[in-house]
Amino acid sequence: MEYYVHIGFEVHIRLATKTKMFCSCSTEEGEPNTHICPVCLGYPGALPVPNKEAFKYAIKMAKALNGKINKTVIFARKNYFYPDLPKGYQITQHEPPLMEDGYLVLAESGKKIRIIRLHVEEDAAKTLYDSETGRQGENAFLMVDYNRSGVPLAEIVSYPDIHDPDEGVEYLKTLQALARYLGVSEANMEKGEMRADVNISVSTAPDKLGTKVEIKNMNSFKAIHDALEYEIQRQIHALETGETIYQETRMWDEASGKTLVMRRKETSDDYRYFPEPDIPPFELEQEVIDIEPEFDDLHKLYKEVNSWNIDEKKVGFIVYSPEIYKALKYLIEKGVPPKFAVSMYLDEIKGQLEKSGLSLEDRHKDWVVYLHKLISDGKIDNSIAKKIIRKAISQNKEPKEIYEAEFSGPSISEEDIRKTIRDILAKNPDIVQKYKDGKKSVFGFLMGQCMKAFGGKVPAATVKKLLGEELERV
Amino acid sequence: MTIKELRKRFISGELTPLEYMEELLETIRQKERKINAFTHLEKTDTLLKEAELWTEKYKSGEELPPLAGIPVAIKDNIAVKDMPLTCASKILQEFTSPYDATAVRKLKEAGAIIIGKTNLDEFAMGSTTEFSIFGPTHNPVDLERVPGGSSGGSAASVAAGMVPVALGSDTGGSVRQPASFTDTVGIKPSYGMVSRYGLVAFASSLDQIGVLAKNVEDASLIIRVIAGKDKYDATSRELSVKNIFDAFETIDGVKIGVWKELDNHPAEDGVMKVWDDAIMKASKEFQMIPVSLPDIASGIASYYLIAPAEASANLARYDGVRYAWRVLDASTYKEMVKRTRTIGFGKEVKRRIMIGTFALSAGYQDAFYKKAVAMRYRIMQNFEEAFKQVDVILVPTSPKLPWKIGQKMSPSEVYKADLYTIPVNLAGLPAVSIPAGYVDNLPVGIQVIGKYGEDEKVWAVADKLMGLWR
Ligand SMILES: [Zn+2]
Repeated sequence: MEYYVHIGFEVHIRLATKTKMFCSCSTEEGEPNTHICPVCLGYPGALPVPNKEAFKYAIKMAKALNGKINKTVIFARKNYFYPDLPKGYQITQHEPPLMEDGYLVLAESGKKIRIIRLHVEEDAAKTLYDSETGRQGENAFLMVDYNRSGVPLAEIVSYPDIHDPDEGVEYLKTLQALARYLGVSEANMEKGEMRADVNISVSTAPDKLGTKVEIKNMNSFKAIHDALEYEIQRQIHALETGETIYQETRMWDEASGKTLVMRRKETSDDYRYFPEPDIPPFELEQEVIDIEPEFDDLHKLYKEVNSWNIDEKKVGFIVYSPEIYKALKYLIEKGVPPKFAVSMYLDEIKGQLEKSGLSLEDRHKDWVVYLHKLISDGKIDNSIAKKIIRKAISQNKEPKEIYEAEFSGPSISEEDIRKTIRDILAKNPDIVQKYKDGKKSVFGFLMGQCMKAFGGKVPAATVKKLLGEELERV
Repeated sequence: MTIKELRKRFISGELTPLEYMEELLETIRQKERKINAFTHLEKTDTLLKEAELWTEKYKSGEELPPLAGIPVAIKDNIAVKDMPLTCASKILQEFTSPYDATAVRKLKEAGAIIIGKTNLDEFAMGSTTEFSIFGPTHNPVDLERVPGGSSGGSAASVAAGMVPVALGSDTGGSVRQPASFTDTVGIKPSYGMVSRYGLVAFASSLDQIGVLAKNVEDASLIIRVIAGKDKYDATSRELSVKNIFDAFETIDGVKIGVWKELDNHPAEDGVMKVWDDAIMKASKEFQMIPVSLPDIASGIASYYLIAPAEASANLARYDGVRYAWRVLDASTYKEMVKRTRTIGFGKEVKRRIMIGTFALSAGYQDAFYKKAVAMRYRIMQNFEEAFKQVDVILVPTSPKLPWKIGQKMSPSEVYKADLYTIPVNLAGLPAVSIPAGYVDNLPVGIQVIGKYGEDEKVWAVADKLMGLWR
């Protein structure tokens, strides 16, 4: 029997505004319950006033997803009780959403995933469970941090166009990278800036959906991948043994590596949506409507990076890391060859920084430009460039300082270089003889002797060329 | 004595804010036990100290804000910083507001002294001020009768001379009907004229803060102070009002509409007699034109779906989680919320939450909530048509005279008594209820209703009519 898997996502992405969606509290992290006010606590008499800044972020994402944009914003109340929901309803764009009928092109495969809608809404507060409050048994109770209450979110709902866990992760990685490219959100899953709920069904016919099961509580790409793997196997097993698959919400349990039943749905939830009377419908301002995203199709970037002829394994990483992609692109536009840019910027600079517990900064791009110039001018070679990088990082200096202090010196003339080489050859007559007898492998030994003598101040390529010529003359 | 006169005397020194406050506190001491208008009174010391402060300032001759030293009472569903905000409900019995409503902040900035909080029907749901954890408020006109509601405490405090003006709130007539029952003036401004920030929401698209006073001038003067667009209320608007002490606009040539279909939905005989007399008197001064508002009687059905629907969401926040009272012995979140709300809300509030939840639920929303909203638009259009012919429209305020406290009435009977006031809220229009006469010593009020945003004209006409009818 063949099985067909359909996976769809509901992704929440925190929009990077400075203040909350309906009050002027800060969206920054802080001690629990310090960024709160009567509005985001749902105090009696408090009213929501929309933060139109949020739409400047949301519109970028909406347009990058290629759908129809609705300029009229109508907020609605979604009614349900939960300890982290201070008003007993969530204010959300119900009908119409900011964007509908769009699609996302997956970065690596180039496959289109259809998007049902993107809408703006407020976040709920954060519930801290026993494990986080440190209270157990008799003393156990929920604690709620309202700092997150009212933070603006974009919710992106996809069609069930995804067919396996890898593709699911690729979808989320593409979405995350897109949010970062556009400056819409940091979209860190660990920080809850990006959260994904998934629905999945398995059927025995390609054009038919099986019973939809929702899975929640996955806080990393790995957890999502594992949960999908598990759930697909569970549902296939159920189909094979004739067990019923219930329409239900399950929870991913990291510890046991299983999905567990949270609640079973007999009917769909009734949220009793109705138009939010505290916020009159409004039209997006022209300056918001006119905002165009600088990126939309990450598969195009993927093909571009692929054309750089670099290590294939690094292509995905670069595309999913906007800062690195943008830096490499900058270097290439400055005339730095892609391979050199990747090896210096990514392997050397980023690698060395990480060893020292540091991270990339904007100025590091110009290190690569500088070192590339020195190499093109024949002043240093790759290995010296790497030495300069290491020293610059360990001594917290700029490469220019290191180069000028240690590697430039008074420049050695070609005649002086030849003279030194000739001295070395004179000191090693037996080895020169071996070379003359056809044992070319001794060249390396002579090369090493010369390099040592120059103390790294003459590029290896120059030494190699001149050494070759001098050997011919002996 | 009007506020203008009070201010004149304060400035001349003929009367000081301190003497006036002492007078009011004496009246309160004599009458409050029988009337029960207040849910909370500021401490006497604090009030006297504040009044003394203003007295000193008046003596110094410096320029003072317009309401300097004028005492004001606030309905207990409007937030005053550091005072209880109970909505006359057990569920908020222990709640103190950490902030001022915008209207209250503006009153304080204008120099007013907040004397206390007044009684109401729980969460402003009712028209008698009987459904309160603080017990019923009695009508100063006849202590055995209700003062109307839900702003009954504000109306009674003004009627009894315990305070010159009081803020109320009007969702379906809650300022105008108590004004009618207590022989006072009640203004309900255009929707959005006064910020709702700090007014505990009952039905957000209908709620509006209003004022009760002894005369149109005092009531309108307070609205002029508290009106204006507010950054804390997205539904608030900048609607034009005059400067606080300016005279009313001239109303030469104003055409007054008289609701034609009243005969099909008549008030009690006594009320109708006062109405007929009043129209007769008015026609000697004004051009009176019968106007048709064919659908406004359907307002009750529309209102009693829209208001509970909005209320069912607005009251969801009272779950015992973050503030105020909750049951302490529940073992789960669900049980805590369930029991807190079951015990914390009174019967009428729960009835409306149930109706509203039902009207919004899947499968019923089209038949109930959405039809009610469609009817609301029809009523708006009725008014729009009528206002093509006239400047203001007269309608009685209540079909009934103030009834006895404790009188048994079915909910639908009580709801029907809102027939004349509800359409005004559905259409968001400005209206004033003014005293028009008496039946066996019981007062009867008539509403002057105006076009959206033409509040000043409504007040000017109402002031003139009140002079004719007194
Ligand atoms: Zn806030």
